[in-house]
Amino acid sequence: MSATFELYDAKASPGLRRRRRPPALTTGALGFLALVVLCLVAGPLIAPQDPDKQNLLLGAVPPSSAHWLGTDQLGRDVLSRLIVGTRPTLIGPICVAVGATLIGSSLGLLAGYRGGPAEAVVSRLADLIFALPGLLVAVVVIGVLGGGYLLAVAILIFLSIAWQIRVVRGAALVQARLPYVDAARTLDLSDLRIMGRHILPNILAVVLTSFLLDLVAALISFSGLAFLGLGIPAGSAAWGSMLSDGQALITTNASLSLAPAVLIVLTAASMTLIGDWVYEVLSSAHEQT
Amino acid sequence: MSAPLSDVGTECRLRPQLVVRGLRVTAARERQRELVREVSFDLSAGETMAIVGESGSGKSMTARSIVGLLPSGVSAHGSVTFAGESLLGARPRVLRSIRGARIALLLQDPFAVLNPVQTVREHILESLPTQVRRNRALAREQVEDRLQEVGLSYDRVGASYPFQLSGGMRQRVALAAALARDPELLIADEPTTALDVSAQADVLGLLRSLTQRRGMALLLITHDLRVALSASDRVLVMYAGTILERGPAPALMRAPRHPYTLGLLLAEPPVSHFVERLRSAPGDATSTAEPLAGCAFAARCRWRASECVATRPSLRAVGEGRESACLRIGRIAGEMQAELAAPSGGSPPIAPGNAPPICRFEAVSKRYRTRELFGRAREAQAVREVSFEVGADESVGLVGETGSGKTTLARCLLGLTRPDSGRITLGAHDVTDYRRLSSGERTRVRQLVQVVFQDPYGSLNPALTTRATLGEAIRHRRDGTGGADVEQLLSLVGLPAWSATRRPVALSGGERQRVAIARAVAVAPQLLVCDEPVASLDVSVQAQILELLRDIRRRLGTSLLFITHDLSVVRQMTDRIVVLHRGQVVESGATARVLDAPTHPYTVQLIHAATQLAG
Repeated sequence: MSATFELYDAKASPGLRRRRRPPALTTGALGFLALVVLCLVAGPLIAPQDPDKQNLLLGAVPPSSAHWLGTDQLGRDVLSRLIVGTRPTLIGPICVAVGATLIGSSLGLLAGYRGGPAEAVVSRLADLIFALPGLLVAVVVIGVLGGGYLLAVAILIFLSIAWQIRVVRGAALVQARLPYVDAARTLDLSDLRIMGRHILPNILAVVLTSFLLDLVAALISFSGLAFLGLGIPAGSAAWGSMLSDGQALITTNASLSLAPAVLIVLTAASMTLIGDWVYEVLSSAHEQT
Repeated sequence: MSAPLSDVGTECRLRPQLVVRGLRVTAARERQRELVREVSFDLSAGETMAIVGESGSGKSMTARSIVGLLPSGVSAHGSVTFAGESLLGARPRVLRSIRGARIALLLQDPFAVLNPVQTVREHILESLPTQVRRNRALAREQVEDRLQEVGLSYDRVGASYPFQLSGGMRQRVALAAALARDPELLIADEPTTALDVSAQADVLGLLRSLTQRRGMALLLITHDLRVALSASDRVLVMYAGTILERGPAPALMRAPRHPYTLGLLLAEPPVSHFVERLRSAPGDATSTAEPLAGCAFAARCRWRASECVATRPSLRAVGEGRESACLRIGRIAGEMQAELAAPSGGSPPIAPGNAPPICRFEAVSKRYRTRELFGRAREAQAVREVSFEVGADESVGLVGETGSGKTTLARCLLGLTRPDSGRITLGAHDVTDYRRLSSGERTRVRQLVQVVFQDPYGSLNPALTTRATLGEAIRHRRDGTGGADVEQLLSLVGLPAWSATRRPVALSGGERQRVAIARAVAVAPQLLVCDEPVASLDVSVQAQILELLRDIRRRLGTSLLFITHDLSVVRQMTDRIVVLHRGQVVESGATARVLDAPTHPYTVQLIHAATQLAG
């Protein structure tokens, strides 16, 4: 056996993961998202002016050196409002994505691994949610129940878990048929442990990617709700409500509605790009090179 | 149509038809990794030659570069000429006109090669030359002829879809399609690897007779020296991208002229008798990642000297029609011959007498239901009334071909599925239905039996390191405390300590299988179920794993339930065998008795196919 060992040691370690540089577009997306996260965390600190300071005499003016993106009808600085508005804009989508991922992935994992009645119940639930016209239900429910923020989060979580269930169930189903899962079962590991420790790490790429896509979908849903004046306290500086407030003044200060619109689109696009990249990197991590 | 072809044939017979010179294949990614280094050979019209090598030897890349079908990111250099026409670097149009028409390719997997929604008739039709296809009557006649040539009847299979055919029949259809345009050269890449033994012998026989009848050249790519020796005139042995030896098949078998060839010959466990110790070169087939200074095989060679590491050997003539790349062949030939002739016999250890059985199957049956979109549910009887037992400290072989139900039985025993009727007992426990066991009882049962699966790539969790995998198993061992730790387990299965920190992706197939075995024995089971544990490993690694399993049985006294289709493996590993055919036991008894004097026609047929292949 000693000869064998010599040979093994001489072998260059092939296990090192090749670090792949993300493509240029993804790098840009990462940079942009870093800025957004900075605004999310430290918005009030880095905003150049007080976002709520009114100047009724000034009113709405187009961009100038004093106000880079101009002001709204109350004379508030648009740039500062956008920066500070990052938090109310994104907190909701993040809660929704986290909630939907936790609930949806657990249910999907359960359905994919256990099969049988568990799968039937979970899959029918997903089918049911898919059959609902999502945003319409949200609008009606929030409208009828009086439009609370938490209510909006809860409803959007419920509507988003269907995706997670479908995607994660599919991935878990593939893994559950592999012999390593059978081997874990013969070791008498609990189902919870098999799902959590054995299957989950192998479908992490799928889970994370659908988390990011959920985030995008929730961002757009929330912005849509905010545009309709739902799910967000009135007067808050969320991008969606700024967009709708600014519509009327599009000829006076176009950036009032254009800037939040561009921000929403850029954030959503960046998240999608990064989602793709994360999937590619993670899913090739354990594969044979 | 056949007249011009035969003209070309006679013209080419005078000189080699396929000439490969200094072929190098490199992968552009990963620092210009060399997959094939300086390979040269000739193939005359009507000649059959086999390229033999284990995984990573570059044999498939060599074949693929001839037909210009290299994967993206891989490029070939050197020269390949076919009937005077240069193939390397030829324009795609030129290549297309040669590929299929003059050089045909037969691939390993008859399941993936055929289009599942096309009938057999359509497959053959599609492969016929355009002018034949336009004429309906002629086309129909041609399809009939082509199918008949490979031993299939148009009336029976013409309208069938691939899934309705057996593996052997599919490979025949693929062969008929490959031959539909009367190629001068057929390249067959592992054509029998995915088939059962009897189908293997059939397809090889068919290949042999077809090449003879048509005067067609055959380049056979295989990892199986038995297949190569039985189906070709000349054999070329490749290792780590280089040719180590070439020569006529019979001479190569009688007197190998390279230590690696000798290793391959010895590693092949014989069907005919028990071998005391399965010999093989240590280690795994070297990957071609590192640039080579000396002989590619030096690291695993027991006759290695300083010159082997220092100088890169080239092929030199050693005797009539034979070449070897071994620098020291002159000095070690005698020793090698002695090694080959050394008595490999020995008798199997005496099977223990009347120890109480550890595991008993009583009239176990299992059906599978398949649902279809339209129409009634179908039922397939996987196992019918199977009864047998495994004694304590005994090794029992469960032998059968694909679909014989052997894996279903193992899955029932392991509680991965439930039998429809019958009874399975394990120790003192009734394990027919694992759901009826209390959780404490189930834990005890799980520690009685463990399993090693066939596929070393799927049986380890890709996300866990070896240490995590083994650690988890150790925590579930019988006594809960003490016992082997990860390091002890690794040394038990012959793995170096560093492998503890590796994930499966960084381990070779043989290493992974060792980890899987370590995981199974970590629980100290009394019965180890081995489901084709060496079927997807290279020959030399196969012998190592078989030796390891024997060693574990000797040291730990574990009983084995050995599931395999390979009779030579059964001969080496088991005391008793149970032969399954279509879900039923057709014969059982002491291994030596059943293999030497089979009584059931099916067993006779199996043994005949296996020995035919062995030559």
